[in-house]
Amino acid sequence: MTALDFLVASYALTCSIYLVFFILLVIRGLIRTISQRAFAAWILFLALTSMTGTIWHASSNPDTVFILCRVDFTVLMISALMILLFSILFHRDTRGSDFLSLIPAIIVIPLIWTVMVSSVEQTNLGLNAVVTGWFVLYALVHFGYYIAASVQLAVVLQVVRKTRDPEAVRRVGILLVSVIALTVLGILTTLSFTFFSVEWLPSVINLCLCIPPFLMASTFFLSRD
Amino acid sequence: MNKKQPGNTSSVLKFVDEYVDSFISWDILLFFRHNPAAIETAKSLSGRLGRRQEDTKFGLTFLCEKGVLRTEDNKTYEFKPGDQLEMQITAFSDALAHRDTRMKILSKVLSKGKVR
Amino acid sequence: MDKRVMTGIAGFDEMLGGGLNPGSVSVIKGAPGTGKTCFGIEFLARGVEKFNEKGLYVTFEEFSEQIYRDAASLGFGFQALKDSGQIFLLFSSPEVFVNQLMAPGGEFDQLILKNDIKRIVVDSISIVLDVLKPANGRDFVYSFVNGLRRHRTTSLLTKEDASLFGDTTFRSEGLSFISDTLVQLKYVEIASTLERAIVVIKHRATKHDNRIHSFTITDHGIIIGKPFAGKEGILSGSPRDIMKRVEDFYK
Repeated sequence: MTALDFLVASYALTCSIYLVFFILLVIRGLIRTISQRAFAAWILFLALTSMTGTIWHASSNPDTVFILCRVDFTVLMISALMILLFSILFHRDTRGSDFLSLIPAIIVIPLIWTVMVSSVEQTNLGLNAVVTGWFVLYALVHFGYYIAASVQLAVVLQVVRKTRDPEAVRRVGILLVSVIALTVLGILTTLSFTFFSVEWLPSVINLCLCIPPFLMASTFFLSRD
Repeated sequence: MNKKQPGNTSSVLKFVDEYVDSFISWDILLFFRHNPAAIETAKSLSGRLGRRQEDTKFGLTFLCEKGVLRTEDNKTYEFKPGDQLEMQITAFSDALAHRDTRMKILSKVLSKGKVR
Repeated sequence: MDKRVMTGIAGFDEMLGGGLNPGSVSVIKGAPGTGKTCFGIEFLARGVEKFNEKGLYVTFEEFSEQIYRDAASLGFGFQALKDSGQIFLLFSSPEVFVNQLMAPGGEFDQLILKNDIKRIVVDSISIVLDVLKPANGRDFVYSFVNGLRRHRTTSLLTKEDASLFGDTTFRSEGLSFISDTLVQLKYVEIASTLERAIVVIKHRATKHDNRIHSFTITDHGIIIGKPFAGKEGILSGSPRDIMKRVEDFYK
């Protein structure tokens, strides 16, 4: 198995796990409230990004990859918006000013499709996107959304801890840890493709992305209540 | 506790000699010093002092004889000491706030050997 | 206003809005094992250690050795304090103590006046009432409390609750009306464990903290913890909304 095969397999596995998690949420009716829907949408978009990643890295057609990588970045940006929306709804009612948080995404998404990806190139790990300096803005916005979501969840955890309800503390704690883990793993994935020359590294990091959905699923389906 | 300087110690001790024959009269003097408008029976005063009624009655009788208290019917008692005596009672109360004078007063009362 | 008598117990003076009123009589009530004796011991020990105030511990059932051991477990050398004349221990029966308290110039008066005692703990008033069974409970309690107040000492009485989780009502004898401060100790059940809780029910003429706080008994004294914030009634405003959102999300 080559490093590229391993990378494609890891993306496929990640996609499957997130899809199964999404389907379980739907089957169990955990998409009634708006916060549940935002959460489910986040999981779905994470599944979709893994799906595009699978197809992207499996493809050897530069034109296909050129489109897929932009789709991938767009889906990732939308998923980040979903987790921010969920975290806000988990904490409080939305306010008018919350819609201002859409502005960075509205600016960045057109950039993805115009100036952010200049071309594709052949690497040891298949065809990879060649990005311009606008990628920095994209990364800052994407991870900024995740950090903002983590802050919202941390506030919720602080409140929940005061009630000393161990189940609630466990659930919110796992949620926060998962979001932080995904943020960190996302940063590491980006760095592993951009700066490191270790071929297996992106696959390993990608496999680690499989862990948070199991943790989050446990908060729904392995309740002690 | 009141931190005013004690008055003339010897005049306080002279007051103790004449008006504080026992701990019960000590208690009664302090009670009326702090509650000059009170009108009490032996029973009610004993409750306020945490003393037995019979002990309190002895103290009330003594202080009536000394002109500190007044009773119409031997049932209710009021504080009517006159200005000079009232000043002496105040000095006695203030003196108790200071350890040295308090110990002197205590020795004097104990030496009288009277419980009530 | 007179300066407060600080107990010196970590977090407790803050709950009391600065401390006890000087010359007051306070009641600490609670079920067995909730820590009433510990409060009494620390009130006296801290009185000596921090405020140079001598104390008297009145006990009717516990032997002196038991008191010394209890104090040692809290980190206080009660025996040493007794030997140095800072703390006085009176182990007596209720009848004897009440007679001493009420007798003019009796042993109680002399003990307090000669030794400049500023703090008294009576452990417990329940035993006094149970043994003596006074015909008129309220008059007796009134007299008893005033006897303790006589020399402007600040007193703490312990009182037993029958119920483990704290009977916050006071039975007759008028103790709730007559005492200046009422403190309830109880157990609260949080997720299958019992935690100790304390609340100041009454503190005459003082704005006090009326929240239920946790507290722990450690080997360096009692530590009052944070107020409990249970899901119902304690949370208010947005924290309650947040809890509702979390519960709805996982339903």
